[in-house]
Amino acid sequence: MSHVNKNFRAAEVSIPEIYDACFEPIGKSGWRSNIVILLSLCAILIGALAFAGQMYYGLGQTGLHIPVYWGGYIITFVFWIGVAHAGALISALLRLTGAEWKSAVTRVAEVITLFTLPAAGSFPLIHMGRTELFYYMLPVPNNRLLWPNFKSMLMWDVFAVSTYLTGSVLFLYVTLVPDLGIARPRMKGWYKTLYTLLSWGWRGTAEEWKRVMEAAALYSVIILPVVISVHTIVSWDFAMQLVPGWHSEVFGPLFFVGALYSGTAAVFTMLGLLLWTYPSFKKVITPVHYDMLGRVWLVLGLSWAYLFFNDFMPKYYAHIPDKIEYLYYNGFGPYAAATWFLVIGNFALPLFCLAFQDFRRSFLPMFVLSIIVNIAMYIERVFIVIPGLEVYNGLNFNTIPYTYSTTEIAVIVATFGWVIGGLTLFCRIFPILPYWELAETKARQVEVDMAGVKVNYFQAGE
Amino acid sequence: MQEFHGKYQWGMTVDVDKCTGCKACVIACRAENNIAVVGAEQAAMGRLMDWLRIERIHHGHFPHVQVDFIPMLCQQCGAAPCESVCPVFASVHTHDGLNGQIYNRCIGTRVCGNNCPYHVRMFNFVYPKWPTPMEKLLNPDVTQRQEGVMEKCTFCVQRIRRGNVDAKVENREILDGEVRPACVQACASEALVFGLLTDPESSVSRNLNQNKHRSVLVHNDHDTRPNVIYLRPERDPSALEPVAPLGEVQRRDGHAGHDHGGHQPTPENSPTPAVEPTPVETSTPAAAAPASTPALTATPGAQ
Repeated sequence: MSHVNKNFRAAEVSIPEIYDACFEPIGKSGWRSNIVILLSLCAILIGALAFAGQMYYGLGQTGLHIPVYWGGYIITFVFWIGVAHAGALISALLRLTGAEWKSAVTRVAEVITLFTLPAAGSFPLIHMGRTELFYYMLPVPNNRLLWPNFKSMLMWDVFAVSTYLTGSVLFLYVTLVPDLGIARPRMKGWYKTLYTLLSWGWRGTAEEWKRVMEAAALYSVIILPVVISVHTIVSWDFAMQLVPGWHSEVFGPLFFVGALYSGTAAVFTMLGLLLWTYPSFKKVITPVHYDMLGRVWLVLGLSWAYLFFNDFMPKYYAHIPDKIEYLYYNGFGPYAAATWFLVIGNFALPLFCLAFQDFRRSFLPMFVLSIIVNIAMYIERVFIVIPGLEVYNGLNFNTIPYTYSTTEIAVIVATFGWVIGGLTLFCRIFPILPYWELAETKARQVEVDMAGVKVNYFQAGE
Repeated sequence: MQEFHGKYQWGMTVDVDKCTGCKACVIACRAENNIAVVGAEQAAMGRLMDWLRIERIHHGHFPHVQVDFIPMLCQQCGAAPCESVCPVFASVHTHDGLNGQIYNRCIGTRVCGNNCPYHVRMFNFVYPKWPTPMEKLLNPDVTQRQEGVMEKCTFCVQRIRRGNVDAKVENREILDGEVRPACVQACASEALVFGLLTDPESSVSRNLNQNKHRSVLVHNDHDTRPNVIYLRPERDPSALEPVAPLGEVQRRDGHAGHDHGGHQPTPENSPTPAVEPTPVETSTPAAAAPASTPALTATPGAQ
């Protein structure tokens, strides 16, 4: 019988139970989430002060210097952009491929996007020398009679990230409206007002459902190319430059797959925290979900590993001197420990562990693994950005290594606070599990007796 | 091989044989261009902002060490990597072939500094401060840059513009040697020669033609088409190798074909010097130029 329980399709959970699980955290303030929000607020405050100091004293507050013009801010920008890709993968891709187990994890992924993308988008502005003039990059009429330089990949970045932010917020909101409408009569106090305002008079008529389904399908189709373009363009920020280690054709797919890889890791981290905070979610988020998402993670990890090694194998074969110097600098130079942690933590360990179904189905090990992969993916971005600038082109001009300064650390930690605190607050105000999608999956579940074996399958949606 | 953008193309030759590494050019550049003094602490962090610096290249082992001094300044590339990546057109190409840097437009993304193979674009990490009497000694012709913008060698564009204006007022062409950047002016050994590459009779063109066999472009594998041409030492033609890859100068000789800089096998990788088969003195300069006597009227629309 045990193998039957492994099947989510036979999960013994009724629709009212799904409702209770989904809306259980709303309006409750546990001490754990209070502490998390308080700490996040402190981090944001400290980061804001640090940024104010940077604005006042100049970028000398960072650890950057003349050959290493891009540092911790850009690394964290790429990291957050990568994590933000979770939303696209889980929501759009799985929605389009019709994977019915997706329902439990879609909104977690979308909400991660909602908070990580502004965190990512703030970094290019923070990193600018004159942040107050960021609007020079916007194509608005101005007294300088100038358009921005559309040949510059930084301009593509501006458009890509802002498009993705708009699209993912709309995507999240469209799928959130039915839940708000359904829960509105049962809410109390200001939650009722908020839900009423945000649900736009949702009544649940057939026409409204049809529109929501169509909009969700449409957004899934529209957001996928956006999402692919976003991280490809972020990779072009590097690949379009002449720096050794950056100037690589494989950066587009490498960044994209790496983003999905780290994004999925972030979803596992978030799921682990959710299951720890709200044990009732275990009714809805089962080991089957972990198994299925773990398989996706495994495939992404393998793709990432292929592209990652593909990135520097041609450099090694070609034996271009500065590229070889770059490789040795990475593997055996001051970044050797980070590099080998990256190889083990991002490649050897996860791909070995994820090959086992029992591992994929266990909550705590997957949580720990997701943390390791996230750290290793952050190191991968360090590995991409810093060494190339430090060994650039053999003009032995300045060999001072780059280190994070206190200001940079404070600002980076503040964005972590923003993401974690924002997610915690979101869970307390809005349903983090998509009730209507779970209920719909449940309602379409049909059990058929086929020659004595009970088989569950789903009626095809309209 | 390279076609000039306009009627004018300012350029420079740097004779590594003649450079003694005295750094007078560095100091002259600092004085002329109001380059901020960042102080010892910032300098130790690598935020020194010399627009022109002397690269020291060491050869050999201890008893037989040779040092070559290579003044490294903005190469004023014809196809500059810094220009295409700037999102706000702060780095632009001027009509007379300079890499302009417009401080007011710069928002400090520093992408140009990353993309420059020569590491000559400097960023103002701190607010420039001058001790009290010193701010009265600043050059009024040159903008003071604020914190958060990029700056770099301009070929002393303020002197070029002054030369343009003088020539226009007197209704004549710019004379050879009339415009000299501060570094050229300060160079005691005349290692630096500046002038119009478009004028075949200018001192820089003549210097280039006489030394064509040892002229190289730094990092020409990126096809940046620099307008600063290095003349490597006679005694040791491989002396500039550590700055490799160097490309042979392709400009202004019609028989050099239309290959792009770095992709054909250039002789600089071989240990023997790349001597042109044609006699140096009789080679016709500016074979590809539209006219052997370029019209050197005052620059239209200089400002």
